[in-house]
Amino acid sequence: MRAVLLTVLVSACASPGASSPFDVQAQSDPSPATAGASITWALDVTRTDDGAAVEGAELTVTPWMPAMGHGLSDVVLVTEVGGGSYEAACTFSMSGSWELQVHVAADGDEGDDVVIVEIE
Amino acid sequence: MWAALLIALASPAWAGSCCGGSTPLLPAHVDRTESALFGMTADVSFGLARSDPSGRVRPLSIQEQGLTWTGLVGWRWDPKGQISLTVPWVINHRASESLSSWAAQPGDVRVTALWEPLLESRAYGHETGAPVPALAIGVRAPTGRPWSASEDPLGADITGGRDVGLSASLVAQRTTDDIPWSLSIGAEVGVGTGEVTPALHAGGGVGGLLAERWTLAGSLSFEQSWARSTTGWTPSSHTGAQLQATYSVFRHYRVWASVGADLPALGREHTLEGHTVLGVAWVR
Repeated sequence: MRAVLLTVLVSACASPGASSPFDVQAQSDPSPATAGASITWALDVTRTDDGAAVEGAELTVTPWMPAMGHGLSDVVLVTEVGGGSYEAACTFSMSGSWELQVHVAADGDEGDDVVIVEIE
Repeated sequence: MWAALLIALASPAWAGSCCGGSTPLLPAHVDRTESALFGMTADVSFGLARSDPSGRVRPLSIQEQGLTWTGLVGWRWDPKGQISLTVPWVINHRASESLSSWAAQPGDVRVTALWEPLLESRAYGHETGAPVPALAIGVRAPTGRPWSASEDPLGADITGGRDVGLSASLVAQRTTDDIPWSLSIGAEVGVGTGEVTPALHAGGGVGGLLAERWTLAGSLSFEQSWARSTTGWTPSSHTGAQLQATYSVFRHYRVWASVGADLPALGREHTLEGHTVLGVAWVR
C-alpha cells in the first residue's frame, strides 16, 4: 500500500494542473518504480470539473528531473487502453524525484498536468 | 613543494555524472616559481548511494562506475596572473538489474583564469599571516554529451551539460606559509539554453609537509544548485571531502594520489560518489 501511495500522487501540488481542464493520475508497474528498469505507467485522465473519464485524448508525456534539470532523451510512447486509461512506458536513468509532465488534448480542449513520482 | 599542495587545496566537491562536472577552482595551479604545468589525472569514481530530497541516504538502483582522464595545462603569464585548461575524457559504466551499458565520450572543457592582485610576500610579509585575496573567473564549454543527446537508457553516455557555464570565485589564501591554506566562495551560472541555472559553491583546504618530498592536504567543499521546474526552483546540493598526498619525484616532476567522497550530511537529491585520483605533472 505504501508503495502505491508513493507513486499515485495527484497533480494538486503542481501549478500547471490548477487551471487545466484535465486531471491525470499515474500508477507504476512495477511498483515501486526503480531506475534502470522499464516502467509502464497507467495514466487515468479525467475532467477536472465533473470527474468524467476522458477517452480519445492525445497525450504527450515528458519525464523531467527537476533537481538535476534534465529529462530523458527518448520519446515516451503513449497508447490508449480505454475508459479514460492510457499506458506510457519509459526507463529512468536516475533515482530521485521526477515529474511526469502530461499534456492532454481532447474534444477541442488542451491542458497540462504534472504528476510527481519517486523513482527508487 | 607547496605548488603541489595548491591543486589539492582547490579541489572540488564531486558532482554527479549527469551534471557536466563540478566547479574546480583551479585544477592546474602554477606556483610563483613556475611558468607552466602539463599534466594528466585519472579519476576512478563509483556510486555509493544517493541522498533523497530530505537528506536520507538511499541505495542506488543503478550501479555506477567511471574513469575520467583529464589533461591539464597551466600557464602563468605574469606574477599576478595564470590560466588553467582542463580537457576530460570520460568512460562510464552503468548497470541495473536488467540493463548494462558503457560509453566513452569527451567531457566539458574548462578554462579558468586566476588573478592574484597582491603578491603575498610584498603585500603582507610572512609575519602577519593575513589572508591574500585572489579572483578566479572561468568558462565551461559544453563539449561533453548532454542528456538531451543521450542514446543510452541508463545515461552512461552523458558526460556534460547543455549550457555554457560562467563562474567567478573569490579566494582568500596563504600559499607560502608552513601550513598553506585556501578558502573560496563563488558562483556559476549556466547560460545558452534559454534558461539560467545558478549554483553557489564554497570550499577550503589546508596542507602541510608530511615528510621529505611528501606533502599532504585535505579539503572540504560544498555546492548548492537550482534547476527550474514546473513547481519553481528545485534545489540540489552536495558536499565533498578529499585527502591528497603528493610526492615530488624531481624538481620538475610530481605525482599525486587522492581519495575522496561525497558526504551525505549536506547532500540533497544527489548521487554520493567515491573517488580515487592519480595525477602526474611536469612543471617548468
